[in-house]
Amino acid sequence: MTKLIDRYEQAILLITHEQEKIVGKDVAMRMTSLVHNLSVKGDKVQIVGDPKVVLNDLVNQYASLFGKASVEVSKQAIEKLGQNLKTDEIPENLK
Amino acid sequence: MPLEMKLNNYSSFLLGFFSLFLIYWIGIQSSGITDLPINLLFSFATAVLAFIGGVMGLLVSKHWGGKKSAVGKAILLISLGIISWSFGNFIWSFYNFVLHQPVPYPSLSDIGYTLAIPLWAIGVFYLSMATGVKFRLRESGSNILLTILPIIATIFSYYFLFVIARGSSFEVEGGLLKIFLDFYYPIGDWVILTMSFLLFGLSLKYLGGKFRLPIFIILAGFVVMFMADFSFSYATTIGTYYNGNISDLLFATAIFVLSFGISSLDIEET
Repeated sequence: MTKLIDRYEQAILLITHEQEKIVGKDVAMRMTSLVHNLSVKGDKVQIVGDPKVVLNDLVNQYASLFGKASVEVSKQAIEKLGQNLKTDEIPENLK
Repeated sequence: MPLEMKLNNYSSFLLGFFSLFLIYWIGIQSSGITDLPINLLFSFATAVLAFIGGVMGLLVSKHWGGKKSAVGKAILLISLGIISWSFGNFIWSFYNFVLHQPVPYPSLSDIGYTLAIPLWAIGVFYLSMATGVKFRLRESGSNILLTILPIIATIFSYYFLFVIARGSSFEVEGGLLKIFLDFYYPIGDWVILTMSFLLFGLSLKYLGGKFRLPIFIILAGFVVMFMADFSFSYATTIGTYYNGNISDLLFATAIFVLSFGISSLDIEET
């Protein structure tokens, strides 16, 4: 079983890659790197603060572009994680 | 949902350009002139506006990853459509000024106009990927929108493009190319109008954020383009068309609104 922080980082990468299809790689990387307490280096991300808050902020960051449509893309991305994140570990805006 | 939008360098330029256009058009109407070079120049100026707007769109598309993303592809295709339309109008002006044909139809200018329609249609399709259409289609009630909106677009198209513009009759004359174009343009207008209505209706619930308004402006541009085509068709049918008339103002407005919407999607300046 992978560490919780790794699963969050995996979720962030999945969301970033799914958003890439809509907004392109440059915009997606920029949006992700704008999130507080999250550092992006190439294809790797590192969470510095509370991972649930960081994930919540990431979803909101993309939502600033196309609103609920962007949130749904993030939800779709995180579905690929399966049961890796428990319900109480997922931020409200992704439920 | 907030509907705020900041003007950027591109959209400010287009706004200024179009304001001058309005003054120019009011000047033409006030003078009552219908057959002088100043009339022909209006079409040429519209081509310049379209070309500039289209090129701006290409630059905006690049900021979204160009053909590597859905939004980039949407902007790229719609912009190429605007540029194609501008080439149509440049060629139209060539017929006006050099060959002294005030209404060249059908002519080489139709290559530019006809190419614009599929480019716009595919562009709208890619735009739908960013606006949440896919998610709306999974919900109940979407079938009603999928039925009603095309019906409304069809009634609109039938009434404006056939009943009013052509007096409910269709003359099959003028050679194969003209017959083809006489069918192609109204069908193309109907397709774009239907897609715009569908994209609007199916995006309302999901589309938000800072790019909601620019996308709706683009759709409004297609509706104005529909009205411009209707107006042109009507004026040519009853023989009142001249370069720089209300139809040409509608074309210029449609190109401005489309370009304004596209340029407002620039992520670099928001």
